This record gives sequence, C-alpha cells and structure tokens, in this order.
Amino acid sequence: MNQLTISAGLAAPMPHQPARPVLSAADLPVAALGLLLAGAIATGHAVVSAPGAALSSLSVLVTGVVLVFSRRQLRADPRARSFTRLALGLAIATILMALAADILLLVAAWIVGGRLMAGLIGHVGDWREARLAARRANLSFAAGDLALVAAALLLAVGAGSSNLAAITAAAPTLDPTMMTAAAVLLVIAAMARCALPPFSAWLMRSLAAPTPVSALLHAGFVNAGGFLLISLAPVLEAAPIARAMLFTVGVVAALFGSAIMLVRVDVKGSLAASTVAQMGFMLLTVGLGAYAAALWHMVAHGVFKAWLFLGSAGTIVPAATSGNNAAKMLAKPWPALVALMTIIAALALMQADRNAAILPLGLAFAAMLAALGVALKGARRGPLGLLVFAAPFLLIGFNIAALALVSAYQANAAIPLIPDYAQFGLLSLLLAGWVWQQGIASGELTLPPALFARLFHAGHPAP
Amino acid sequence: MNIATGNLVAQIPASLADERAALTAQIALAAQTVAPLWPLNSAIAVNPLSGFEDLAFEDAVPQAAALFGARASLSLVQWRQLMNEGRIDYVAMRKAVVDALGGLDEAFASLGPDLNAYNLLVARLTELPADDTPAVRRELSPGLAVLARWLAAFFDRKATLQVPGRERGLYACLSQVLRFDPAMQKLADGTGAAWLAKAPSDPVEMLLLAAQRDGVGPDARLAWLRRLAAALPGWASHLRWREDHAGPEASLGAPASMTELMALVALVEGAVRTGPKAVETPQTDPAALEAALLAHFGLPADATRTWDAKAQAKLRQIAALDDARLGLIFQEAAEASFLSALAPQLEGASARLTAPQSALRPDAQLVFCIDVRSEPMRRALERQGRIETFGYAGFFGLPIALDPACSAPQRNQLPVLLSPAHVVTERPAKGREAEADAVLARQAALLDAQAMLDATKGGATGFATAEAAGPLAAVAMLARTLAPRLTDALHQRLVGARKQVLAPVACNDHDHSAHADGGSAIPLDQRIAYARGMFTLTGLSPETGRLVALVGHGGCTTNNAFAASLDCGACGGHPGGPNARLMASILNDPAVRDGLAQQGVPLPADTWFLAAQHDTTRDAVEIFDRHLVPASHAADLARLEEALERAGQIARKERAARLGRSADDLLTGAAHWAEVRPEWGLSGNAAFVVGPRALTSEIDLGGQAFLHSYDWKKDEDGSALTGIMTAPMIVAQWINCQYLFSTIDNEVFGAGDKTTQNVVGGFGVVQGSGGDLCVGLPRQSLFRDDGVPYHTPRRLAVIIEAPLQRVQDIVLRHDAVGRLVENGWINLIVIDPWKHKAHHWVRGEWTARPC
Repeated sequence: MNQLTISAGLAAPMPHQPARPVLSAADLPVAALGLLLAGAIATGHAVVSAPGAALSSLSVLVTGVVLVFSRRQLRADPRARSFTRLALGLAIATILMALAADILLLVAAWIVGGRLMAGLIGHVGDWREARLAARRANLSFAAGDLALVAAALLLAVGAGSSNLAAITAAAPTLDPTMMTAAAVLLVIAAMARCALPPFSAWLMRSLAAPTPVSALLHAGFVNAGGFLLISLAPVLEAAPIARAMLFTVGVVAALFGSAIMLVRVDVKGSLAASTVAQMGFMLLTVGLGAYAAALWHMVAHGVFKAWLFLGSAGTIVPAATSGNNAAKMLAKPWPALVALMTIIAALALMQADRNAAILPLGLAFAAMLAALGVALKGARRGPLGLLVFAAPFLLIGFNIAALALVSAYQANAAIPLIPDYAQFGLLSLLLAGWVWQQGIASGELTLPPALFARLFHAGHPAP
Repeated sequence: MNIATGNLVAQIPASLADERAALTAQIALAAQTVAPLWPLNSAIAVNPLSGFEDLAFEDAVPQAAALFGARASLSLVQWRQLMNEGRIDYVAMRKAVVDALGGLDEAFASLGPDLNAYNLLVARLTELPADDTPAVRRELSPGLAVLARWLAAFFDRKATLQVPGRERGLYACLSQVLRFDPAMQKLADGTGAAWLAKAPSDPVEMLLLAAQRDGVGPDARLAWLRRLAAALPGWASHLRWREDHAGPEASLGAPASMTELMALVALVEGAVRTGPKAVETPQTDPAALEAALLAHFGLPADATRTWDAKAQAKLRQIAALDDARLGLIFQEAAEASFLSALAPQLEGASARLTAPQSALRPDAQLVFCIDVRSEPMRRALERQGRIETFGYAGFFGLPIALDPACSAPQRNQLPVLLSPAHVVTERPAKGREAEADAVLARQAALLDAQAMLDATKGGATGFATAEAAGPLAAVAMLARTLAPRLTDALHQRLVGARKQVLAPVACNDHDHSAHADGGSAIPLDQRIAYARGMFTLTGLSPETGRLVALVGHGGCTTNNAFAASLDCGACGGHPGGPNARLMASILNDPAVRDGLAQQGVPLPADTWFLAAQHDTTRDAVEIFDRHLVPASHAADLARLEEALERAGQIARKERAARLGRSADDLLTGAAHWAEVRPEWGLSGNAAFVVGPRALTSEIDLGGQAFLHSYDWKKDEDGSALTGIMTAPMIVAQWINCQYLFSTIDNEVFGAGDKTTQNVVGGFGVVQGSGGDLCVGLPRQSLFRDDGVPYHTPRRLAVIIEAPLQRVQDIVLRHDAVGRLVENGWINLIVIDPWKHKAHHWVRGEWTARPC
C-alpha cells in the first residue's frame, strides 16, 4: 500500500515535556505552611472544635475536588503550578485557622489565607480586570485583617491570655465596653471576609479568576467569617450591640444579595450575588444565636456553591424560549399560599415551643412547599412522579437530621437575641420579599426603570 | 446638515429627509461590517470577516484588524515556531518569499556584495530578533463597558427580572435606563449628562445629531458608522444573527436593530467623552530595522551609500514591511507546503483512476459527513474489508426542522444557508413505543426536579434550598470528579437511550400513509427527490451493496459551553443522527424505491439502508433502528459492527496522539466535567476535496480535509458541482475562516481562555464579569497546552477533479463563489481529469503546477 504522509501539512505531535523537579523553590512556602500546621498539632496548639471541624472538612473536601478538577481544566494554563501551590497553601492555612488553639495563630492563618486568595483572584496576571480584582480583594481583606488584629489584641490583653479557650471563658466577666469594641471589630472582620455590603465589590470582581478559583472562594474561604464568630461566640454574646449589628447587616445582605441576583444575567455573577445573600443569612443566623444552624448552612451552602461554579460552563439553554421563565416559576396564587401556610405553621411552632429556631425552620418549610407546588404543577403519574414529589420531603428530612447532628456538638446561644415574635416578623418580611420576587420572576410585576437601573448598578462592579 | 441651503425654509425638510435617507442607506451598509454570530446552543462557524469578503484577502485582513483592534497575523515568533516544527517547508517558503518580492529577478538581483533582496527578506522573516506580540485581552472604554452589560441584560434569555421597557425596542429601552444608571451619571461630565438627558427618541435622529456633533461630513459617514457598528463586535454580531437568521420568536418581546445599536454607541460615546484610545501597535522604526538588517549581514549602517537608488529602495521596502505582511508570507508558505505535498499525490491518483476499477460488490458502503473528522475514521474503516465510504453533507440533503418529542423547542437540522422546508416530528420509534414512553417519563421527572431547584434557589427559599441540596451536591461533585465515566454511564442509564427510541418521522411507514398523504411531513415526490439527490451529488452508483450506512456525527462532551461547536455544522450545529435516520427510512421505503427506479436509479432489492451516528470525541459509531434490520442482513450487520469497532480504535489512537493523550483518556475526557479540550474539533482543516474517494483513499490526510464525493462523469450539466460549490464549499470556507481568525487573534476573533469564561444570557459567553460577547472559538480548541497553535492558519484549498471549463463556468456564474475565489479567500485548484494535472486559479487565470 502506497501510504504517504504529508509531513509539512501534518501538525507535529506534542513536544516532549521536560521532566520537572518534584519540588521547586516556589513550593517552599507551602511546605513551610504545612510544617507549621504539623508543628501546631504536635505541640498542642491545635484543638478540634465543632466550627473548626466543620470548616476544615469543608475545605479538605472542596480543595480535593478542585485540585483534581483543575488538573484537567488548567491543563493548558502556564500558571497551573502556581494555582496548585496557592490552593494547597490556602487549604493548609484554612485548616490551621480552623484548628488553632491560640487566637494569634488564628489571626496569622486568617491573614495568610486572605493573601493567598487575593493571589488566586489575580491568577491571570496579564489581564487588567484580574489585577484590579486582586487589588480590590487585597484592600478589603486588609480592612478585615486590621479589625481582626485589633480585636485579637483587645481580647488577649483583656483576658490576659491569647489562648482561645481562656478568652471565651473569660469573655462574660470582662469589661463590657472592651468586649463591645472587640465584638464590633470581629463583626467587621467577618463582614469583609463574607463579602457583605459594603465589602461586596471584591467578590463581584473576583469573577476574573478561573472557575476552579471561584469554587474555592465560594466554599471554604468566604465562610470563614461564620466560623470566626461562632468560635468566639461568648464574646459576641457579651456584646448585645455587636450582635444586633451583626443581625442587621445579615438581614441587609440577605435582601441585597437576593435583589442583585435578579438582575445578573451571567451565571457566575448571579452565583456570586447569591453568595452575598447566603453569607448574610449565615451571619444573621449567628446573630440570632442559632450557631448549629449557621454551621450547617456554612457547610451545605459551601458544597452547593462549589458544585454550581464548577458546572457553570454547562448552562447554555436549548433555544430562545420567550415566556418560558413563567413556566419555571410558581404562578400567581401559589407563592402567597405558600407564604400563608408557612406563617400558620410558624405560629403553631411558636405556640408549641417557646425557643424554636423559627426563621430557619420556616424558610425550609416554605422551600419545601414551593418545591411541592412545582412538582404538583407538572404532576406526573407513576413511580417516578412519586419520587420527584417525595424528593423535597426526603431532602428536608435529611437536613433536619444533619442539623440535629450538628446541634449535638455545637450549642446555641443561651439567650436568643430577639424574642420569638421578632423572629416571626422577620420571617414574614422575608416571605413577603419572596412572594414579590416570584411575582417579578413570573413576569407579573416589573420594576420602574429608575429603580431597576440602580439595582443593576449595585450588582455590577464599577467599570 | 447642509447649512448653505438653510435660508430657504421650504428646502430644509427636503434636505433633512435626503440626509436621513442617505444615512439610512449607509447604516444598512455599515451593519454588514460585523458577521452574524449564532448562539452557542446551535453554534455555527462563520467567517468573522464576512463583511470584508468584497476585498482581496491581503487588504481585508489588515483593514478589519485595525477596525476591530486585532492582530492581522500570528506573531513572527509563533510563525517561526511553526516553521521549526516542520509545518512550513523550505521550498514553499522560498517560493513565497520570491513571490512577495515580485519574482526571481527582483529577488536575486545583487544589491551589494553577497546580498540580495531574498536574503534580506528571509533574514527579516526568520532570523532577525522579533517581538512576540501576544494577542491581548480587549479592554472596553468605561462607557462601552456599561453599555455592554446593559446589552447583555437586554438580550438575555433567562434572567428572572427583565429590563423594563424591553418591548419598546433596544434603543428606547436602553437609552432610558442608561439615563438612570448611576455608573453612567458618574462617568458623564456636564455636557455628557446633558447629551444623555436630551437624546432624541429616534435612533436615526440620534445618529444624525451625533454625526453633526462630531463634525462627520457626508463622505466620512460610512467609515464612522462602521466604527460604531464594530465598537462592540460581539453584541453586534449577536444582533446581526437576530436580525437576519433567527426566527421572529427570538426577538419576541424585545425588538432590536443594528441602527439602534449604532445609535446607542453614539449616545454613550457622546456622554462619556474619552479621548480616542491610541491602539498600541508596536511600531518599529524602519530606519532601525534597516540598520539591524545590515548589521545582520555584517555591514556597517552607512554601507548603503554606495548602492544605487533601486537597491536602497529595496532595502527600505523590506525594512518597512509590517508583521501583517510578513505573516501573510508565512501563511502563503504554509498553504503551499500543504499543497505541494498533496497535489502530486492527487495527480497520481487521478491518473490511476482511469484504470478499470474492481467490479466486486462491496460488503458495505458508508456515507459520512464531509467533516474533516470523518477522514481518519473512513481511512481506518476502508482497511477493515471490502468497505467503501463516501462524503456527503451531513444533513443528507434533507432541509428539515425537528420538533422533539419532549417539550424542547424545535431545532433546525440543516445548513444555515438554507431554510427548513419541512417540520419533522420526533415520535417513538416503531417497535420501541413502551421504552420511549418510559424515557419520556424519566426526562419529564428530571425536568421537574430541575424546575423545583430553579423555583426555590432564589430569594428567601434559596437559603433552605442551598442547605437541602448541599449533600446531594457533594455526592454529585465527588462522582463527576473522581469517577466521571461511571457517573456518565449511570446518568445514561437513568435518562435512557433517548437517541435510540425516539426517531424523526417522515410518515413513510404504512400506518400513517394510510391516513392520506396530507399527513405526511414530506410528500412522496420530495422524498424521492431527496433520495435521488444523494446519488447525483456524490456519484454513488445505484448498484449499492447489501448494507449502506448513512452516518451522521456529533461530539460528546459535558459541562462545555462550546459543545455544539463539536456537532455537525451541516445540521445547524446539532448531532446529525436524526437526519441520517430520516434519510435511511426514506431510502428503505418501497414507494421511494419504486420512484427512484422510474427516475433511472434502480436500487438492488437486497440493499438495506442503515442509520448511524459517529461520535467524533470517542470514535464510536452508534447504529440506530437495529431492530428493523431484516434477518437476512444480520450477518452483514455483525461484520460491519466489528469493522466499525476496529476502525474506531485505530482512529481514536491516531487522534489521541495528536492530542498528546492516551486513547483511554479521550474516553474519560468525553465524560469529565473539567475537560476543556475533548477533541480537536475541526482544528487543522486545510482542504476541501471534491472528487471520488479513490482520489484520496491512499493518502493520510491527518483529519485536515473535508471530503465531498463527486464523479464528474456522472454530472454532465455540472448542476451537481454547482450545488457542491455553492453550498458545502461555502460552509467549509466559513469554518476555515473561523478557525483561521480565531487562531490569529484569539482574544478578538476568538473566545479566549475557557477557564475564565462566564455564560451569559444562556446563549453566549463573556470573559470575567462581563463585557463584549465572545465570538469564535476558545483558546483551548486551537492551541496546544504549551501555547503553540495546533491549528496552522491556512486558507482553504478547494481541490476539485473536474473539467476546468466546468469549474470556471461555475466560478464566473455564481457571485458567492467568484467573490471568494477572485479575492483569494480560498485557493481553488482543479485537477484536469484527462491530463491529470493540477491547475491553480490565480486572478482569473489557470496556472499549471500550483506549488
């Protein structure tokens, strides 16, 4: 057979990749961080607490998945090695922070984690947008870091020890003014890390980073704010003003994030806006004193968001289908009905149990009802339809079990921040917002142009 | 406005109307500057420079590059890399350099001692130090960045909250919200704010006003409008698609036109006054280059004093060549390298064709799509027995739209050059109704689950939904990352064999035709005509084998915004299986067979037509409707399947080597959600060969050639060749130009790095948090991991075996073809079937020995 090959036409095969050394000089800082973690554990400077365990397992899970993911995804990226280094360093720093028995070690790991994340956000170094995003992140983190350092110093000086356990034990007995100052500073640090307004811009800009970075960022990095406050819960409880402030910024962020999520038409942007709302919800839950619920939210949302980010490239829709939005949403009487039933259920719960977490339970109930409403609308016969119908029950049931498990290890605040009826009021507010949003989403309501433009502006970083 | 006539009051309205009419005409012209861009769910390759095809290639590219802010060619460093890898051979390079210098005499005339123009130019091309000007990510001015995100919101398909006033049209809607946008207010100074507030409500009025304000005279207006149209080329391209190629339902509730877009750009540019941004083209000083060139040859800078004027001019001329021109020399050399290797082999094969061919009946015949990815598979398959393969446009000549069985919207399964003549519904395949019902039920259940997530993930319920879905997400994430193939298999099992149990129905089964012909989607005479078309266009002999397989194709990838770019372009960016099935069922229909026999295409009674789909990522061929194959053909089918399996392995291994991965890893990549390059797609495409398969069957084309079967002897009036040159050839040229320009400047004509892309509106991608819509192909589809282009920028070589006169008539008669040939957007080579010599069409003349 006279088979010939066109030498000049054929693309040459991949060139031989030179074998790289296993470790290079640039890997040393990561190795040092690892040694530090090992050292901290060996010398008893590490302690396993419920929030610490939750944060570090979340970090290990997500970092593991992301590293395997990015081996393929960043194959053609000349900076792939630098990504791996920073991601590993970030995971180690997060675990170190989560397990630190000493507040100074915690603060150091917190600061290192922030710098590493800023480095990851600026991954595409030759792109102005990425450089701006990294700078913005660095600035916001610096503000949070300053607040945290000041808080740590206040607490260490006040308690006469930098040991976390000593600080939390001494918190109720210390000078209330000092505690209030420290707690407010802690809240500010958490707000910066959780990208709550007015710090949201760094998160909205961080989309200049590759997808795996976003997955790490939204699961395990932003959540550290919740971890910090739960770890130092006694400080927060000693300062009702700070607690109220935390609750307020949480509510604002939850509403703000949900609103800007509506106007983002890009997948990653709406996911980032949703993170702002979710972090607001987590912190407001912390403010309420429902620490177990906040912790479970931190883990579950982190995984959920990482999953959504990693899969964000697969969101091309089949074709222009105008009016299909409405089909996805609940039609008119449904949202109001769901809200009404939830409110009735919450009232019943209030009667039955004086000290229930009405807000999280009420929202879960509303979500379940809404899901069932959708399932009913497309009611299918047969076992499959039944399975779809049962799914919300199963998931909520699993969720309650998980929450009970977390509660076994994490106590809630002794005194609730606000009385039951206030929680009930907040639930009603959120549900009203939800009914409004469903109306908007199904095209029944619109916004006036001026309001829309403002919301749109709030949801996008300045050009 | 012409003020000179202003004192005659009565004339003002008339002159205004004239001016308006003139501007409107110019707007229509300027709108053509950008090419239409299909949404990614049905990605179609288009030439991003299709608005420049009236110009010669070498003039069009620098012009367009300047307008869009792109590079006009790869950098010299990249070209040298390609040359070092052997993709450009020395002889071809030498010829390209000589041609660029105006012939042998000019090139080798002595300028000084041991120095001639040839040496100088070669030194510039390959030896002198050169900057590696990379393709840079485009940055929008702040005003345009704001406009870009509003455009994204306007064109959005799936956001929950829509821009108020969308139904009033693009300009009315956005000019209103821009006024309220705090970002715009902050960017605009006093005059800008007034400009924004007083913007006329009519877009043409706005443009007239802006032209006046910017002092753009009537002569300069077209260029000015073209700049406005090209300010946000991505969104403009999307709009061009909506205007010219999308059905009315695409713009339902949100009408928009290019006029409105240009008016908005003018509005924003008037409001946010930024000085014209200097485009940073690294200008090398020609004098410095002259000196460097002389120094390279060991001559002092003043050596030229002794030269004559002509020699000095030559040196100056060579030093003044820019990267675009130098790049074109490399590109021509790369094209010639390919042709000089291929043409002699084709000439030889053409000569051998006259020898009597074997008259044995083949075991099986397979008709593949002309796609370049069919070639390695066909080559491998033909060596597995007495198997013949053919190339035909992958929609098998059926101009249909498919109405899927589930609630998915209708989709066009035909080249975008045509419009669908029939809507074909998808129904449960005969004999598999129960399975089909089960599959549909599962699909509906999955859709319900998705709808539940969608309805609850936003707003207040979103907090609980995130918690509830978290554990599921953890499992899904681990499964997709650690066991992608297993997960994919489980998913396939869960979803069911949708592709198999649902089939497009032409109503050629007897239960339906009993209802009267009115129930048929495609009338009988049309079905016969489509069936006959396949034989006339490909030259497939009516003495068919016992099995004839029609093989469509589709890619296999997950979590990939560019998935459709791996599917069949001839099927409108969708998998080609449905067309293959429909064509097979038409050809198996006794009524159609009778009709064919009456029209002189009698097919053997024992021929069975089989439909299949080639998975181009995994090189597996899936056969449809196996249960309909008569028992008498079971053994033939088994043999064919065995051959397909073996050929698939060979082809996969060949492609894996080109991807620098193992064949097994290709299978993993097809199912892995992190994969950015499941396959090379049509990268490397360089030629479109029209002729019998025997012409190319002995040549390893390395997946670089579109192959269209054609027999000039059976096409006496040239109508088949006309059909090929006016449709598939044009499509191939679009694809070729998309790959070419996406490689040349991946940031402007391509979609950039996949990992920083962000899906917007459900139909496109932007980079990072927003900006202009990305056009073209992503970086990973064209460049290797080490950053070297895998795709060599080369214009399509169209190689036809047919009488020269016949080809020439077609070129001269059809403007769409003539334009491409005359302006050098393709290289047309015709192999004379009597003398077996290749001829290259160069500026209206046939030149023998093309390379």
